[in-house]
Amino acid sequence: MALYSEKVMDHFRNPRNVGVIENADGVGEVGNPVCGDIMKIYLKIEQDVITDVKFETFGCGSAIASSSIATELIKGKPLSEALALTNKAVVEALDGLPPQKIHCSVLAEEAIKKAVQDYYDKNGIAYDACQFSDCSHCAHGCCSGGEA
Amino acid sequence: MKIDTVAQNIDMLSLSAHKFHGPKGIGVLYAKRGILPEIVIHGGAQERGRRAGTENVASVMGMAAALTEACENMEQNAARVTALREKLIDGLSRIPYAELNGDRKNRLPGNVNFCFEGIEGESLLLLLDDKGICASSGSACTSGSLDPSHVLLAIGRPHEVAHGSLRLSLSEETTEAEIDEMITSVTDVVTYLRNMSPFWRDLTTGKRPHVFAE
Repeated sequence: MALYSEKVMDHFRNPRNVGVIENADGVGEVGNPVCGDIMKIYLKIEQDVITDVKFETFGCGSAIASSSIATELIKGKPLSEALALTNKAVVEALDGLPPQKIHCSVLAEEAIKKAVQDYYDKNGIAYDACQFSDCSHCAHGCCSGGEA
Repeated sequence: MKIDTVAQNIDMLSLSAHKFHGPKGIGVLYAKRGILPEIVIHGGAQERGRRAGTENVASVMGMAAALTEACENMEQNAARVTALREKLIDGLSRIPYAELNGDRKNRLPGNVNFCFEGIEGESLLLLLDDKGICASSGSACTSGSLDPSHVLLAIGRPHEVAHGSLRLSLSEETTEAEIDEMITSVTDVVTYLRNMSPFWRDLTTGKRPHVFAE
């Protein structure tokens, strides 16, 4: 499988930040078992900074690597930076993903956004809904705009 | 298995050499006299005008040798491999929420195919590859399409469980030690992947219903 870069294989074989956070400040779960991909991100937030992050993933090598590196990219960062994380940044950090696996990086970006949105919702913090548009789910085609 | 093209009324039969320990890249298409398969490679008149291109003689000889050997030792090989298959199936069946795909008895001597709830096939294959075990899966991620194996779906496996499939094909050279290793490795890898799967967590906490018994 020279399909995957060394970085992807490293994050797949040695995923960082696997686990759950009890009483997490924000939890975001995306994907569904029919598609074969689910990512769940748990955030611990203090004064708008992500002090701890954990993930759980059901999916392929790219999915596990994408979620692993995504947690590394946002750990210790302010929420604003986490929200600005794009799937492109995830792909770059992994030294690239095969074209048919790009959607895994999209899921990682969405899972983080969902976790932050959950934190805002739980604490009654106002936010711009357009930042969290759910329509991006349709981008990978299999979920046909929501739960299948 | 014994094949008699006359008694079994076989019109056409295709054989892949690598399936009986012959070289890869060569096969046989048998067609009953009077049946003319469509010509797909045009050009010279080789193979009685049915398939153009100079024949790959070395591979044909390799295939013939493999076929002869396979037929001569068919019964002993089938018995030995079947016994190994049974041990592997028994071992993998001990993994919770795992099910064999296809009939327990009526299956090829070397074929083992399981679905494991809560995990995905490609990650299973990558981790097994790291342990020196080559296998295949029917998950969507391994097929390059968005759907998992149409065969698994056709036999009634729901999508989520078809994604967690594993196929191990035994050969005449597989040893019992390797079977033991496969059982241990697959059990370890399935457990490891389940421990990081939110899907598995939901199954164990009852948030999602199990598909399999156990």
